[in-house]
Amino acid sequence: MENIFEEVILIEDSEIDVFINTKVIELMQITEHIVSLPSGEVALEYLSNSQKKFDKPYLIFLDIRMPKMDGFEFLESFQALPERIKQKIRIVMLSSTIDTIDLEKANANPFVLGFIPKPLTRDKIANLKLM
Amino acid sequence: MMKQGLLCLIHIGDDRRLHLKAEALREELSEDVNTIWMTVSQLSLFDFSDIVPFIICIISNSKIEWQNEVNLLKSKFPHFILGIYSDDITSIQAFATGCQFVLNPEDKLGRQFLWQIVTSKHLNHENQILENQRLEKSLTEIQLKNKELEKINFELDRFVYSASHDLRSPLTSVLGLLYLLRMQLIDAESIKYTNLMEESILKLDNTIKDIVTYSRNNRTDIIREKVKVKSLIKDLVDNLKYLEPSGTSLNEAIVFKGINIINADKNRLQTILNNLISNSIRYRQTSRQLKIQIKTEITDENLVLSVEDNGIGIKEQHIDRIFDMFYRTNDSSTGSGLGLYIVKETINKLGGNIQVNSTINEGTTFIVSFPLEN
Repeated sequence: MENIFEEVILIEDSEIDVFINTKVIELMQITEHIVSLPSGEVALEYLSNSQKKFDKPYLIFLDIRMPKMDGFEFLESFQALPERIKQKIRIVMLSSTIDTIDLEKANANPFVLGFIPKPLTRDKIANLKLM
Repeated sequence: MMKQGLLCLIHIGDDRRLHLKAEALREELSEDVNTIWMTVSQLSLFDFSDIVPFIICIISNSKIEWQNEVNLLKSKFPHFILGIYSDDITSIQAFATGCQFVLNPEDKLGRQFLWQIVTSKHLNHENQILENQRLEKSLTEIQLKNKELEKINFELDRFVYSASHDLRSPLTSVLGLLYLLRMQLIDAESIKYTNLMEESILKLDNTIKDIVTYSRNNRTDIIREKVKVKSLIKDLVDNLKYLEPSGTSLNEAIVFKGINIINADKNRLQTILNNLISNSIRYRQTSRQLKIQIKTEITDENLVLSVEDNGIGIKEQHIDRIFDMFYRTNDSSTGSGLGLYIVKETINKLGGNIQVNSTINEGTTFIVSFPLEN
């Protein structure tokens, strides 16, 4: 699992959760770069302007309820990104929702690798089939 | 263009008198009611393809003559009132007067209307029609109330989800922080404090989840699908790990027997099992190894699900009230007081019933029974 990701992107508006998630990801040592972005909009801009080489895959932890553009709206726009970016990105939804509609929507989305109920823990990351 | 209206079919025989009466009725009605008049000798020859009838009146002097054809019509237009046959206009009027019917299908806005033929005058002694008839439409009172309730339900439901999310977010943050904190702790006292904090938060979180489950049960339709009971229990037990008593493996304590694949509403079955199993864990007898036996069987026309434990049992004075909302058997019970209430409500929604047998210090068995198909 060591540094298997080029970068882990947290799309998350809660500062405390960014702090927690960063800590847990650091403990897992799955990447050397952690970026946190406060909304879906900012994340889209970040991804589309990215000039980086996509050697190793990127992992996104995507929150659902966020101001302006929520997680699902982000996923809709994500679809329009160039294939070379999309194919290197793994998305995991991370939320405290217990709305079954949210869970169904997340599971039905082809870009979503899995759903993690908050809080993020090492076990929950380890249980994902990330690659 | 489809014609819509009150359809009157007049059987033309040699009954001139009848025909005149029908014509008179037609004149009266057609002022307010969109009426389609047909004079036919045989109903089955009539082409209904461009007509949507509101009501079908058959004016004839013989009921028997029309019977077979009317039955055919009934199968074609099951939602419409049919079969007002009479050689007597008076009885047609009597029927139509005050006759209320709800029309299907709904209109474009999804509304259904109550249609009513309103008569404002009487017949005179010579059987002349002096009544003024109108076909009036209005949303039925019940339907108006239903629409309102649906809206309130929907809004309440959205509110519950939204509020539950806002309430749970800070809780999950604290759980995350406790998780990180515990990794750094070494002294037993501090670990104990974090455990107690976690326990309190999980309890609050469970109350929030209970409220959402309750709302969900009320709102959502029943969806039956093939459910693997064994794997459902396994998933549930994984989520109940935080309740696992030390020195006990829940996976070993819980034994499943019976029919594994059943046709059921998965979410509701999960709600029922989750509450019953977590109660069995919470109210275990600490002096012996926890044992929970879950069984499914089919008897007569029912699916019977039972959850049997070897816990502390329920005192007789509580038995009748355990399914009440917010009822808790004692102050130290850790639940929200909603669990069994939700179980009962969920079972009610599914058309089933629940029984409980309990002996103090020996254990409790909950027996849930559902009709196999409905």
